[in-house]
Amino acid sequence: MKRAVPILAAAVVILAGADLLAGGGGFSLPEGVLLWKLRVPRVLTAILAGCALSLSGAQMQALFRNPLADPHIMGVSGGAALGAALASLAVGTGLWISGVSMVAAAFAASFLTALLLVAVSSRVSGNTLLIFGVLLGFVFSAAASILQFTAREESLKLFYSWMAGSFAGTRYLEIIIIGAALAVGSVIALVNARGLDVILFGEEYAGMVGACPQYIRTLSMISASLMTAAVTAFCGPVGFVGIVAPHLARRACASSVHSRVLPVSCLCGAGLALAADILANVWAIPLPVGSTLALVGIPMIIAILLGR
Amino acid sequence: MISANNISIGYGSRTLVKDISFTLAPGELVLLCGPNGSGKSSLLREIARRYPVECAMVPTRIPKLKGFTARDFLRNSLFDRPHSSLEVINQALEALGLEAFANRDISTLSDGEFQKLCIASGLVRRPSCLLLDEPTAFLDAENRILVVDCLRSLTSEQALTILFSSHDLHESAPRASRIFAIAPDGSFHTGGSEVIKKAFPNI
Repeated sequence: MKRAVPILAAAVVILAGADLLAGGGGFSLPEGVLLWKLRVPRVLTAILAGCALSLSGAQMQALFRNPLADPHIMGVSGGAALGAALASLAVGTGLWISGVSMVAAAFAASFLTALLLVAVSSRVSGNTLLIFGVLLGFVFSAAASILQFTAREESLKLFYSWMAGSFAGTRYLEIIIIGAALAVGSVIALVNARGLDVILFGEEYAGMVGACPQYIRTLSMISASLMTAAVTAFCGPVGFVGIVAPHLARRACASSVHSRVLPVSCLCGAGLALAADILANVWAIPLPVGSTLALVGIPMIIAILLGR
Repeated sequence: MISANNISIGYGSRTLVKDISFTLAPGELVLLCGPNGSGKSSLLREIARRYPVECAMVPTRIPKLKGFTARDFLRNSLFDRPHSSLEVINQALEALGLEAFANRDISTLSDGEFQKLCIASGLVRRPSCLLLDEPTAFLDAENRILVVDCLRSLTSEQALTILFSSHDLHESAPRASRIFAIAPDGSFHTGGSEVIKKAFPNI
């Protein structure tokens, strides 16, 4: 299994190259502005988003001892969607500034949701927190539905295109923001890696070996929500990477020890995001990445669940 | 030396066990018995809380998760001591005869082997006293005896004090050097096998 890491790394490089060529109804390498303003940012966004979402998912799965946990299930992207829906209502009114306001609203809302989860996480046990997160997600999506019901057509169009998810159209400043969130989030995750190992065996056990379950939980919630908020704000609620990548990483390492699983999750997540992005962009009209990720990711989840 | 002088166990305003007094000497294997809900686990936890350095609580009801080797698992148990040497882990594996399993995934261990590994995870913390809450629950008769014998040899070879709770009195009581019994009325008794009759006259 030691060979898995170089193979995965090579796969990510090849997929990144292929993704750079994907676009304009097939595979081609554009020149100049098109390459540097469209293709390169899209590839970089896919890689960073894949890493960030897979690290978030790996932490959530350890935290809730649930193979299907990820920040989307915890209501964080539901919060982002509600924020985006609220902002899109302002289209055509004096309050509307630009697309930036939707991104800012999504980021703020998902981060507020995460803060709420962190606050609650210090008071309740893992399973209760999971239920709380899922219910919170339902409340947000109900509220967003009500907003859409009353929204004008131009608001809806903007909102739906954000909801569909895309790695395209990001500017370098946005890539730097996602990258910074990933840097902070991954450092926290790696520092907390041993804590994640311990908490997998239950909170009572964690206490026996001198760990503080609440501290471990709060750290990983902060890390996961920071990364998810940044990615979701710019790319829309992109699911499945966070669930699938950690499972692939555990297979590849033949281990659940987080100091090994976390870095390999990044490779798997980046690879998945790139694959979905290629699948979304080789057509004359680009497809929503949220959907292509579901097409790539769901068969993998099913294979993992059936193969246990 | 671990001792208690007239302590009570309970939660809220309810007292489960009263007038608990004892001392535990090195090399003793003490069986703690009492009905379900009589306060055995609470007493063990209270001792662990009072003697955090001397005592190590042994995890007895944890999942056999896939993806951790026995060695990884023991390393986890040294969470708050990341600089402990590998030697500590090897010695614990050796003390329980688990050297051959060091690099095996714990999900592939039998329940008896895993229970021994859990005892090893208490040993790596180098305590003078191990506390075990029903280490033989869910084991078959052969493995129950194996685990209690293994506790017994630890007390004699390493001068450890071990206090464990169990409902399997027929197998555990003869192997223990002393017995703590919590009677249904919440009174606390210590002594040899005769305390079982004293605390539970109906069995």
